[in-house]
Amino acid sequence: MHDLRPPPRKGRRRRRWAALSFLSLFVGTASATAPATLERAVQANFLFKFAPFVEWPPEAFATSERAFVICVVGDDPFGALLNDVVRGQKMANRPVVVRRAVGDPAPPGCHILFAGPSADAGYAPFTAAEGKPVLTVADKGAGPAGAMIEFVRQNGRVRFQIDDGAARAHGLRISSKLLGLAIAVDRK
Amino acid sequence: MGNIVTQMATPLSAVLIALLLMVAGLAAAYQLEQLGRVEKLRQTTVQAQILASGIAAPLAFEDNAALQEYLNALKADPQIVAVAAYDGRGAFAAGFARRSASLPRRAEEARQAAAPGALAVSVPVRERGTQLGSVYLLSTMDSLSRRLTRYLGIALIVIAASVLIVMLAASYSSLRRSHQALRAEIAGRQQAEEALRQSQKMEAMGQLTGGVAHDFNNLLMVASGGLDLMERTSDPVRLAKLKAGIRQAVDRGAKLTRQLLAFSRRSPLNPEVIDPRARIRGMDALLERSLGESIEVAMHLPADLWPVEVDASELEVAILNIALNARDAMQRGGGIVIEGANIPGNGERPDRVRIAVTDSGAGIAPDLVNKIFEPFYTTKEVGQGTGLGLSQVYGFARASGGEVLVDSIVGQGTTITLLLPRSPLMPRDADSPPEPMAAFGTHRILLVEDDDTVADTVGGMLTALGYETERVDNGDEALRRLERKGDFSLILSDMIMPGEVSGMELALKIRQLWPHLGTMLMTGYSAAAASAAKEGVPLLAKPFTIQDLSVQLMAALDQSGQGRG
Repeated sequence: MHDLRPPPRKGRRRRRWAALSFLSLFVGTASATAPATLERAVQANFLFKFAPFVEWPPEAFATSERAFVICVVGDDPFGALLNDVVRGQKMANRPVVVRRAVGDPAPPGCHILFAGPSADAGYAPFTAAEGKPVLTVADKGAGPAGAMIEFVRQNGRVRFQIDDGAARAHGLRISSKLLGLAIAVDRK
Repeated sequence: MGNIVTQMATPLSAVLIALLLMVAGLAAAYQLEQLGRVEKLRQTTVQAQILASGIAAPLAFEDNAALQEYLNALKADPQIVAVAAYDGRGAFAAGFARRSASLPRRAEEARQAAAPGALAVSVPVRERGTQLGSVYLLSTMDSLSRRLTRYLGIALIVIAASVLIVMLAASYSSLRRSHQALRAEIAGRQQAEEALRQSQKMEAMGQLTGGVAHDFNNLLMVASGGLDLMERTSDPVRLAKLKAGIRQAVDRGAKLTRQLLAFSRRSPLNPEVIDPRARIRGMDALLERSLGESIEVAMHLPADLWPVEVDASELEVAILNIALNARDAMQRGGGIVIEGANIPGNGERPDRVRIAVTDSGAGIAPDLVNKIFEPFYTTKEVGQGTGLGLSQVYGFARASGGEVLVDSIVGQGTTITLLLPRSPLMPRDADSPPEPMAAFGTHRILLVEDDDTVADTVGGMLTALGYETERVDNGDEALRRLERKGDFSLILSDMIMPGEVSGMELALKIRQLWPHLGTMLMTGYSAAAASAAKEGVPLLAKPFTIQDLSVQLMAALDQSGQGRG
């Protein structure tokens, strides 16, 4: 985790990033909390930003739910980070809310379902979403398998790979822009 | 319309038009510039929007390499001097700046930045309604020199057109001025010509009146002097001589007026068939008297000279006029040769008789040859000649169906040639002037004449010839007298009289009402004479002698069946 490092950039902000990642190299050995926090912050940011690049079928918004719901199951790696990211944001003209369901693997009305790691032996967070238009996301290194989008680390940066076939099977259309950015796309 | 255009086409209006054209050109250029700016803004905005759409995913997921690649693609456009992308929180994500352009550090700054001469465009990066960041694009307008180059063509055309308009107006204006000057000069010259013509006319009138008055004064002197002398003498020989002198003066006066009438082409010609040889030979005494002793006259007239049909007295006057001119051309004396010849005609021309008068005088300069026949043209001093002599010759020749030729060599002499058509008839025997024939039997003649002197003279002549006469003043009175009692053999009337009825009308009326009465008209005015001749009324041309009167009366009485027969 300590190899997580922002890419080299120009400008002051980039230097700050570089300084931060340089710091994380050192801090990472002493405590896994700081780099993990940074990675989680990036993931939280990405998690929300997947939404504009995905097209949900109309029935996904047919319920009485007036919000765009991001569900987090299993151990929540983001905490307040995700809430900070979505605060004030709107998706498809709906306010974005975060719902957490620790130990309850099937929260209803989710549009995006992030599954964190879990020590639970019978942990199968995506079974409840099976057949429903829900974009499932997980961290490949620290979460359950079978998500449509999985976070991976590449050259110290947070990247993702996409199972486009699964997304299509659930009625979701992922923008080619997003697909083009994924390090791997499983089209099946 | 044309007038308005003419008045508008001044140099000032041309300059105004040229200025208007230039202002219009500038306005067009400004408008183009504005349109270009709007177009450029639109273009840049579209570029920014394409960029925003393209970088949505790299910006959202912090793929800075891809982001930079997208932005760098715009470096190909030299007019784009700065490009930047900002993330959802407005923080700088990537970008580049060319030359001295600086990049705003935050999206909020980018929205405000707009340097003059540059276009700054800020466009949000959105994906399905969610703003992911923004794009900033700074583009320069074309440089001033480049834009000026673009408008140089238009400017050149506008300036050339303006210069052309000004030049055209200037040349038109100068043309108009010279046109006006020309017209003014033409008008001035016409006036001057008119004045010259008028003065020439006055000069000719002066010459004519001067010459005629001089001649008349001389002959009046002879007549009045002769009468004075006649009163103081009773010597029959002396009286006869004085009478002859007065007669001669009066004849000359009559000749002068006849000449004047001939020049004005109003003299009735009395053509008769004559033998020119006899006529001209008969002039020898007259010529010698007229020309003086220093001039010798030689005549070469063949005996078989063809007859001609001309007014005999006019022919004599013409010969005399030519001879007088010849004399005047020979101040120191010399000879005049009068030659006659028959010129047989060919297919085109009839037979003609040539009568040439040659002198050995000074000759006529070539440039004057054409002028000598002009009426009133004279080289002599006022009183020396009327300028009508050779004009009479010309008029006589033309009226007789012939022509007159001049052949002159300066310093050697002049030949003036009359060519007269041959007459097919034989001349009457040139008998001596008839004696006055007294009236045969008793005839009453009604004399209609308004002028008392003339009436007295003619009445005296008639009485002397043995006629009874009665005189009335005018035509109306004559008609009344005839209606009362038509006991006359003949009515002798003047042609031009006051009153309702002219002589001509009187004659026609008498012919209609009293066909047995003879009429005879007298006049000194040739136009009236012509109308009388046309109606076949016998005519006496004033002045006439008692012989003329007696002969004509006999003829007229014969015609009306009341003569001697």
